[in-house]
Amino acid sequence: MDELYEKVKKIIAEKLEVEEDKITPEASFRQDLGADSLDTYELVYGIEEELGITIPDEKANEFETVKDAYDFIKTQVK
Amino acid sequence: MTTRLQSLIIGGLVARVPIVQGGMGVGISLSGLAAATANAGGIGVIAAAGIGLLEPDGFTDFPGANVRALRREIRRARELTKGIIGVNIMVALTDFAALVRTAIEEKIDIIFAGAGLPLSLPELAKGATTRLVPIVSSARAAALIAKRWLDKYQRLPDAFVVEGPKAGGHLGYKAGQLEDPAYSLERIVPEVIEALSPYRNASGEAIPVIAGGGVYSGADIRTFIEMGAAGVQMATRFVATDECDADPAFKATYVAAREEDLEIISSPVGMPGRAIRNKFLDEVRDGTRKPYACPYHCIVTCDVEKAPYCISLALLNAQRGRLDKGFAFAGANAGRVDRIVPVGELVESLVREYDESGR
Repeated sequence: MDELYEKVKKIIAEKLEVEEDKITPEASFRQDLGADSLDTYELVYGIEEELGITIPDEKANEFETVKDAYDFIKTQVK
Repeated sequence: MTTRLQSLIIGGLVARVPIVQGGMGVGISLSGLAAATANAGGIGVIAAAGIGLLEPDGFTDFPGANVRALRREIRRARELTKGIIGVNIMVALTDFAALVRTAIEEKIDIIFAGAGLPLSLPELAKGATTRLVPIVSSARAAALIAKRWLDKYQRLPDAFVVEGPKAGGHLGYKAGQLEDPAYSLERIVPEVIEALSPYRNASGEAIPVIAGGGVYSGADIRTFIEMGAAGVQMATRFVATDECDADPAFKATYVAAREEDLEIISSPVGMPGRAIRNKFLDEVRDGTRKPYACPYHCIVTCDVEKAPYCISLALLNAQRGRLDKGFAFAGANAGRVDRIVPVGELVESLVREYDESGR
């Protein structure tokens, strides 16, 4: 994985208050990282701010795994 | 303290009595109850959830019937009162956007939106004078909504309703949090006020916070006002009124219920809910109810495949007095209700109790 992935991973660790080594591409936000719907939005807004991109609200709830989020973010970052 | 009850101001709208009648679906608070509350000086609220099921074509054209029924109830309420009328539209409704647009077309005074985070509500309400009031169950949710609305839409909510774990109907908590003092309304209200303290509306005032869930007496109202709440939301008390839009048999379940009859159910929509125990709910728990056909997927989070019954249909049956085919949602204090009174009398007694409790 690349530099963007590392950045995303860091934001996830900070917003969800989980250890970075728990964050794998396959990790599920709800099952493995313990995120509830509020966490999901806080995370998405954190990513928007840090990376200067926009993620539609309806997308936020569709991210099942870290990879889902990363794949979408990658299409948005120039 | 001998202070009198102050009016509640939401985005410039002044309610002489700072009581919001909580929206109750399906069909418990319609134009009748909402208008009566508004006439008594409070804020009357029409519940949009499942409102179209009361129409003859409610099952064949669910979205169409919802929009039509909501429009009619708003117009009917306007004919009955010059007071403040709001609608409660749950974010989790699959036709949330259409119902919001309808309420705005009808120039509703206030939209109350809970059961989910109304993050994109300002988008739907763009250019309208309708006041927007999210319903939340935590300071985190309040702060998230305020920040998001300000960042993305350059506006703030006109007020917040904070609904605690003693409310009736669906509850924005996990079952294990309901009895935990850390989640009590008395704890959450000051937390929400604190979380919103950095925000000021256009007139430089703090965002009003309205406390709901288990508020029963005038003394309860005083408790939350003295904590810094601008008003309260009450629903259970308004069921036990002549003007409540439910069948008399529905109201009678409130009068008959004792404290031990209130129970927490696990609703098909994936949330806990508080209801008055009856044979229907016993059968659900025992697994003896037969599966049903879902007429329309009305709530985003409803697990239609696994649900043992249709929540909208059960609530509709109860509203019509068919308690054998449904059940009544109710707040934690419903056991204290002992008679049906006119709304005007209820509101007067609450104001009197408030005044007396301060002496």
